[in-house]
Amino acid sequence: MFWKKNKTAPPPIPVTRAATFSLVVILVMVSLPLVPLLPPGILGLAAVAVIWRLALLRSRGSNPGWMIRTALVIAAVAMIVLHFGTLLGLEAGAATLVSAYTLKLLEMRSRRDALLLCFLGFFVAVTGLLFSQSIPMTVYLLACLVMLVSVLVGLHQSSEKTAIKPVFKMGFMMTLQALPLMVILFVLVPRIPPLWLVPLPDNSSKTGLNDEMAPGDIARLSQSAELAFRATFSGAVPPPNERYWRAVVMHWFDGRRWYQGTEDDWINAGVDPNKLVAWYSHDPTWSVPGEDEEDTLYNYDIILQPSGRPWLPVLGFATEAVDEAGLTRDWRLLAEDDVDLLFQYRMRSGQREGFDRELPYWLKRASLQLPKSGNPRARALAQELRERHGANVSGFVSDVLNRFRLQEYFYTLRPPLLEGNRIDNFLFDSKRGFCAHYAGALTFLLRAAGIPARVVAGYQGGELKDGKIIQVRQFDAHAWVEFWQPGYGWERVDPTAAVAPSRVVEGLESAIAFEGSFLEGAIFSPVRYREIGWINSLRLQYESLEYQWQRLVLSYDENSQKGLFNKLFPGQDTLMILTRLLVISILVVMIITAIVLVKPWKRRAPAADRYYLRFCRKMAKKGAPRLTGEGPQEYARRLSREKSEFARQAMEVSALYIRLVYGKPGTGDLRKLKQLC
Amino acid sequence: MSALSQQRARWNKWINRRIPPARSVTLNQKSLFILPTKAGYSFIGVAVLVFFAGVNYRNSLSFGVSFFMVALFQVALWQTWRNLAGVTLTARKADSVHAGQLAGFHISCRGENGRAQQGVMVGWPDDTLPDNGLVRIDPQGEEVDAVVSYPANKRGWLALPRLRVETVYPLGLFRAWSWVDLDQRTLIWPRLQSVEEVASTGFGEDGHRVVPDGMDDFAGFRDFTPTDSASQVDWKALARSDELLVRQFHGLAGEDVWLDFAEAAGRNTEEKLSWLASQCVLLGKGTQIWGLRLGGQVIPPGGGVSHAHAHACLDALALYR
Repeated sequence: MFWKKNKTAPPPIPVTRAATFSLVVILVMVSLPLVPLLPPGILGLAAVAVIWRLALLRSRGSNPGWMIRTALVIAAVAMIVLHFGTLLGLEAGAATLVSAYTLKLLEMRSRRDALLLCFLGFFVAVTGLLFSQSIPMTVYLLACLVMLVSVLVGLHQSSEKTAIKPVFKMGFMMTLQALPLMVILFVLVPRIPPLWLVPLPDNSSKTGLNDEMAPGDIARLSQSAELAFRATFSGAVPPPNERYWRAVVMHWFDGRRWYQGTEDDWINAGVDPNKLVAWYSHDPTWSVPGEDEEDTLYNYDIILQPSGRPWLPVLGFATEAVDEAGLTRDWRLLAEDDVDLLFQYRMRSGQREGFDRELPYWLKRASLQLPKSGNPRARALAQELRERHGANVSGFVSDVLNRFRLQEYFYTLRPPLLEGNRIDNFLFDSKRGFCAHYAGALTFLLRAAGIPARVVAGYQGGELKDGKIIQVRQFDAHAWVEFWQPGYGWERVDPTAAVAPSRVVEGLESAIAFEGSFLEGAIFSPVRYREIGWINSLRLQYESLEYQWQRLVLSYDENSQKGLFNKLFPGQDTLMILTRLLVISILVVMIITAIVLVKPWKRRAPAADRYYLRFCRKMAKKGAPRLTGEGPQEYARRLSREKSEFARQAMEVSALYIRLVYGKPGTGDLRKLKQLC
Repeated sequence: MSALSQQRARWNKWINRRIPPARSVTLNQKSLFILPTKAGYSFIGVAVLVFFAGVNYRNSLSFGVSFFMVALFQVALWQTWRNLAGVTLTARKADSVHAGQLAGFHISCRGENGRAQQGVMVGWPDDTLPDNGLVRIDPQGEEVDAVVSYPANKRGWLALPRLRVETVYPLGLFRAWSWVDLDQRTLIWPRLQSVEEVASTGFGEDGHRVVPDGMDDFAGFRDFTPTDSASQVDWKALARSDELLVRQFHGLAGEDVWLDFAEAAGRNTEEKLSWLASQCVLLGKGTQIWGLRLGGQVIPPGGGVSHAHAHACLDALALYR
């Protein structure tokens, strides 16, 4: 049957204009979410390629020759390397993918190229998901999928048909038909932990907590209503003034800024950095206080938004590590890597006291570290208070807090700039500042008086929803102080509470209501309009939807899968259950799809056959049934001999039937046959 | 018998039982095969890549996209199958051609009522041609005619080999196909060669054109055709043999051309037949009257614009043994 056996490649099948145009549209659609990441040069290149392609569609200009194509590829690679310094990171990879996609579109000739472009489209759409999985993004993704399926349909459409509506209808229908199996696979396909390391999204430029605090930093955070994390409590929920989420501890002060200290800082101070963290499943080398009957402990799950930092906020002091994280010497939870994806962890912590009843020498020294000179007035004040209170550390602290409360100190997000001896300037001259100023000043005073103290940064407060979820945003960022007393250990004190109690009890918004600086840079943030009833209720509804989305869909991983199926089928091997359910449900779906698509109940014989069979039955009743193997013509001839009264009818029927089934039927034939039978 | 031909025979036996030859074939689950295309395998490859993106990035929606692609693959299976199931192919007429030419087989393709079936490709695959050399039919629930051509190599009856019917519509991820035998055959005339017209006596010495079916000279009998006048009918012959024969006369005098196998140019039978066929075609274009002697078989002289005589001669040549 294959009479020509030469091995020349078949000439390419051209792509129709409609399909080409829709490929351009799909390119723009799937690349759109990646636009903020792309270097401007690549955007320009993509624009050139798209416009060129559209010009070609309008029969203007000519296809780019290989020289121009090579030049474009070199330009793209050069721009990406110049912008990112590599081709390999996730952002650089996304830019490379988008460039390859657009250049391929420009040189597309055949249907094969077009199919490749469609498949690339799926991949680029997925790349966009690595940077955002929000609900709007999901809706957008679905639109992209419908579009991609429609383009695939359009590619196989006859070139004479240009109507777009049936193609979209087909694409939409097929997308709908694919959704049930997709959901089943999503739930039942066994999830596996990551197989190899991949470059993760770069969140380093994200607004979030910092590990150093110079006045100005936390005020910047106060302008962001972005979600930091959600904590879901099972059981008791802490009251607002107990919602202190510890994330960063700053031991070091250089006269200008407080900072966490790098490994080198600790080594210079003679401390082995390995002693600072106990990674998960290893017990800490230092002793962890046991549980006390008076301790109030809260159980909660946290879903942390990608922060680009390794700190995992914990309510109060953390005493145990979780998977992929460690417990630090200053009782915090630290992830092994920067959190670049949603991170979920379960904790049990709260108002536990009695940490570090004995303070090791090196830690004590770090908690007393101050520059050798500077801020003389503050040092003098510390000395004076020290003499007044002696060993009574609590008296010392309440004296300072009273000073903040009674004197002309103000809480503001618009403090004056400080120069030189910043602590002195703040304490004695400007007296205006926010949490960073007050926490820094109090720690300085404590240390100057020989009391170990440190600045703790994290979040304070959060919005309670549905009675069990606390939603913490970036503007809840806060800084406070921990000081140490022999025999008691660390104790938290929040100097901001002295000057602006509403900051701690009601949140930032009410603390600065008088100056109107709440989210002043974010006029479109719905959080800013919490006072307006309907906006707020819309926002709350959307947020609970988003919460469910995150909890049920985005955090569905190997652990939650295992948890779910252990609950449904207790005591059975999850993998086994999943495999069985998977096989069964795929079979069921296949059968249902087959039935719905093939519609066996609609598979009636063609109309002509039905009418003819009706005629045969009628004749059988008259005593002349059609014999097996007897053709319509023979039957008709026999009928005209045996039942001459039906001769005419039989001849007409068989002629019509033969014409309808085997020949070229006329327009009225079927109707005529129906009347005759 | 070699292993290959044995295998072929077994395949033919199997397929003849599964999809028996018929003038009209409706495709159903018994006669349809389906497998992913190359693009389909690539599509699943992309789905697997997306799955690993989901695994390594712990990205739920990437899993979603990956599973969507798998689910779509499954939908494509059914949709592609459905695009071909219920399609009825019916054999129509078949054109005779010379060996070495493409024989056109007329078929009609009717889609199932109410289904927008399209992209039905029919023909014999040739991977050097676009679309594999298949003809695209978009029945969309109606009856559409198409001509598929098959290269004729040898004179004689050409039985149409099994016809490939396939579709990749709607997504191109699956190819559903069938091989149907429409029980169609056509007569292939001998191969053409370039020849010079023999004994060109088309114009007499006096320059008069020879007019076939003229009234001057009796030239023989031929079958009655409805356009013939009653006066030309040989009524005596009718009385003898029940046959309606027409007495034929030629216009002007002139010698009839006789094409004779015995005198044909060529080294062997096929070459001679080819030469004769080429002469028939050449003469058929003109107004010459000619006859054919083919061994014992004699076709009396004839000619004319209807090509009926030429075709009769060519048919005789095609079937010559």
